[in-house]
Amino acid sequence: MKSLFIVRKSEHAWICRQFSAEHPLLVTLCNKPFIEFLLDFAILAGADAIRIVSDGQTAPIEAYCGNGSRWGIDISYAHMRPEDDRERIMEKNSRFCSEDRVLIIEGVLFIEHDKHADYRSWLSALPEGGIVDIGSGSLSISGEPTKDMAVPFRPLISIPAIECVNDYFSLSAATLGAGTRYILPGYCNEPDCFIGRNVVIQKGAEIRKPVMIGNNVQIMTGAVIGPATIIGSNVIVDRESTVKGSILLDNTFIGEQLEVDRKIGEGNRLTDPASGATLMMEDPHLMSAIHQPADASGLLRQLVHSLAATALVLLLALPWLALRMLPAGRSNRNIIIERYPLLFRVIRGSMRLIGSRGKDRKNSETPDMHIRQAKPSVFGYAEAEQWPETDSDALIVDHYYTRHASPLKDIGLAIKALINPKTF
Amino acid sequence: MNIVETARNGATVISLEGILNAAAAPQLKAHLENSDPASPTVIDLTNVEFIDSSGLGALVGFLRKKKTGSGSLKLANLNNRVKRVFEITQAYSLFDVYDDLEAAIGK
Amino acid sequence: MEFRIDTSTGMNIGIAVLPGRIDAANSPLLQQAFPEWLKKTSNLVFDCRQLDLLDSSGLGVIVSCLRKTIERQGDLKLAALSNRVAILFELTKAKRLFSIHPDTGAAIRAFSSENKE
Repeated sequence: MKSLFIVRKSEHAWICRQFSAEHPLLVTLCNKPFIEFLLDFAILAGADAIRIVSDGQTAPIEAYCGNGSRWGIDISYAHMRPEDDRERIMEKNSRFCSEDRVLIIEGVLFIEHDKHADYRSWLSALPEGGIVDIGSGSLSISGEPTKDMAVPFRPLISIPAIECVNDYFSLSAATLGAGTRYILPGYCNEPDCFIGRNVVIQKGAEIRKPVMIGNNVQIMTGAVIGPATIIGSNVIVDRESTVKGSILLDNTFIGEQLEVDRKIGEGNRLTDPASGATLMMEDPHLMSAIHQPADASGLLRQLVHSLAATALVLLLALPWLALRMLPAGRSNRNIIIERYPLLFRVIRGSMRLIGSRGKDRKNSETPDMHIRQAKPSVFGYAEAEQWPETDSDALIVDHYYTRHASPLKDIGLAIKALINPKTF
Repeated sequence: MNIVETARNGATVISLEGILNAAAAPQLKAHLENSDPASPTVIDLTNVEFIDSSGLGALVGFLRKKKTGSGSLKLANLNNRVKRVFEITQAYSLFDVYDDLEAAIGK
Repeated sequence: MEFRIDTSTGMNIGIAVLPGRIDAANSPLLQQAFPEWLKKTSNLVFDCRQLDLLDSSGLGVIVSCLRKTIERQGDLKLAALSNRVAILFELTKAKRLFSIHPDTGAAIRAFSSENKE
């Protein structure tokens, strides 16, 4: 059997705001990303090939799951349009879907299941059609049953709706409580207690079940962890602090003598799931903003841009002066007149000669950090190409060159932008 | 860049082969200029070894022409290299992408 | 910071409305103003309905205000904590030190009922 995961960007928007994970399906529940629970279920159901179809980025999932060899299955990735319905998606993936029965998991983050149950024979006897549907997500199966037999008793299967942070919070507790049903990470030699690698628990610290602790965690003297607590990886709980009924996601620091009760911590942010209120924990030593020093390639780029801008300033000084004599407001005052003064800023290093150049790209929803953090620039990559007509076209070019440009290529592109008849 | 155009089941199938960059984009554009904007078209990208921003530009321009001419444009068989460019540029949000040429052509 | 004396229950209860944020920049103001208020009455309520941001220095000043009030056999009650400030009080265990009320009315009533007992 095969399985098709349909992931729609719009369904998980709140998760992107709440959590810092790169993709909603990579948010962890009991220290295990959502996507892994879905893969586990599909594998228990007998899938040997899984295709993840999304109308958003699939690269983060691909970086995490790869081709699926870690699970002994084939994982492939495909794109769809937001407006596509299930039939359309099946049609677009007909090579994948045509040969075999397909289990379609649509708009689902998590499936409650039991690793001991026999989903394989149950599903192979099940007729074509829907299995579970909760509106926001559904499970269905396409293709004729492979076994001609009476449908066996339905094993445990249900889809919880996860629509707000409180749903996530209670689901985490429930999943930890039902730990034997799932394959959870960590060493577990007694029920309800999972401990990861490289965990330091200092003298006098107390661990109360049920509890789950990830990798590289330090629990300092006198700290009390649990009950009903999930701690991710790279977490420090400092001296004499109490963490109970809470979730600390990866890379969280809890300072000394604090009491964390029924909260979700991530980095330096603490959320109360009941009210949704968040608090930033600022610690002057550990949590003040870390400024990344400019790396070598950044310096080279800076240098190349400054030099090229100097050359342009010298080259264009005379034409600029001559053209300035013309009356203002005329259409023949071309781009270089308007942007000539900006070249000095490039020399100073506060601007780039060429880069992504959007009006409100900083607020836009582009997940590409390179573009959001880019310095302002005199010329836009989109101006180096003649074809972009709309903002979305320009964004395509921006995305392409933010990944593919090099300091020297930048100069070529800047010249192309300068002589592009469209910009004149 | 090789461009082969065939008609199948009332749809125009354009198979591209080779490198689709700034040098090849004008050739593709010129070829696409002559096609009927109203007819359903499928572009088969199986043998495209490389695509850059100008190549994407040719495809986006053609898509726009198709939309104004109420025709349709589907892309089929994106290999991994092409898929990666579509992924990073997010150009996938503009196109209908099929994993199978026959399905894209339709019955 | 606005300060007034409420006598509606027959007691002198000082009510101070705290500003939107109390941090290292303006916590000394509160620290300076507080002894003056304490001279007028030792039954105090901090109305926190505008207070949205409190850092550790602000929290420290509020706790020291409480300490001074208790030295005078009085009490400092907090009213109308926003969710975010409530989390901070809970996190730092300061919640246990204070009596916290949903609004100033409730805090004033709490004073008078304590008085009767």
